[in-house]
Amino acid sequence: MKRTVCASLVMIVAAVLLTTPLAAHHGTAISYEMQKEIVLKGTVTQFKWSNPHVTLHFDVKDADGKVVAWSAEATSPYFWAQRGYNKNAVKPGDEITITMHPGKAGNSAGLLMKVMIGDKVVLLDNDR
Amino acid sequence: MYTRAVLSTVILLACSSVVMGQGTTFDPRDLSGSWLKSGGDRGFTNVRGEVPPFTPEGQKRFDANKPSRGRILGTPDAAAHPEEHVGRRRAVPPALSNDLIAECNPLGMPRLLFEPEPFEIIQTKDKVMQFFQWAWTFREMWTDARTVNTTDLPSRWYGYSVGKWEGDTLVVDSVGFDERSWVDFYGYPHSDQMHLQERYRRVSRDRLELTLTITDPLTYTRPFQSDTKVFTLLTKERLTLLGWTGLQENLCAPIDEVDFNTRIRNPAVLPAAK
Repeated sequence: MKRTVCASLVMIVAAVLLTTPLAAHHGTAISYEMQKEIVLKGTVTQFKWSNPHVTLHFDVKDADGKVVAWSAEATSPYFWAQRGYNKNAVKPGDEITITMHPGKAGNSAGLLMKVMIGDKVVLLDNDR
Repeated sequence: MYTRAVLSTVILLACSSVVMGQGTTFDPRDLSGSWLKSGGDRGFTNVRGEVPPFTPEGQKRFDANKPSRGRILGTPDAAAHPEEHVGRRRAVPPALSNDLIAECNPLGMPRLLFEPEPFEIIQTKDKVMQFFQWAWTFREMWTDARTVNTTDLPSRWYGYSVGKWEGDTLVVDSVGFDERSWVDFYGYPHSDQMHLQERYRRVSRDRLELTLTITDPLTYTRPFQSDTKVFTLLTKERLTLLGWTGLQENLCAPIDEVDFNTRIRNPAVLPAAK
């Protein structure tokens, strides 16, 4: 049986106020709350190194113990490869802590900012 | 004798198409190599560029296009920049857009030229080819002195292109376009009557400049002129990623993009299905 999810839905909904609305100029960012960040703990179910968007799919246990499938949008493989990342950055079963900009509709979709395994940053998009 | 030899050499160099640029010899009529756009965004013009008035038909087509790039439609941010053309202040989320790229349709010309990803120029006696990393697509520009008559030719996403050298400038004229593509990410339209002219000039070994002009009387009341696009020659080191040297296969595959839209991009902005 697939090992479930580690921890509970969390955590921080940090209203990180940005001086410039990045969303204003970015086709992707327009779908997300770029002034907010959420941090979740979960278990990776799929990491797709595909064009034009790398995507990360993971399970998160909510406050009631229910498993919720989340997905995160990331930018292109070309972007990640230029920064030294590759298709093996994360793999199914990895226990991660992920920081995202949440989607505007409040569903379980977000825009990937950072992924950590333990104390190690395994994916970081600091261009947003 | 010595003076004559020096003079001859100077004249030879002056008349040659091989010039010295930034300490390196290059042939301005050889555009071969992999080039990456430097700066600018994905627009036909820059943010200060002038967009010619639309014809009534052009206005109708412009209004029908719903891009997801630019300042967000209806926001204070969009209202605060009246100096920018309205085309840069009407973005909607991709899930509500009708940009053909959402399902990996071809970007067409000239939009493909504005991607922040490299293209390689391969030059032969009879044609100049561009191979684009984004879309993994070839484009031909024939330099064999042919002419184009589109009367019986089907329209194409990348049109029909012929080029000729004017001095050290490669002038490429293209017609026969599929009118469903957009001029750029901001959704500026064109018709199948669009005439696109591109002027390429290699001003140094590492720098290629391009200006474009669209003449499309069905859409614009006068020619639409781009800013100067600048491309930088990529070294082998910059073309090497993950241990592989060469362009990356950035092919937008519908099987992946539709999955992405279904699982992430649409749920990000649309209410959950009941």
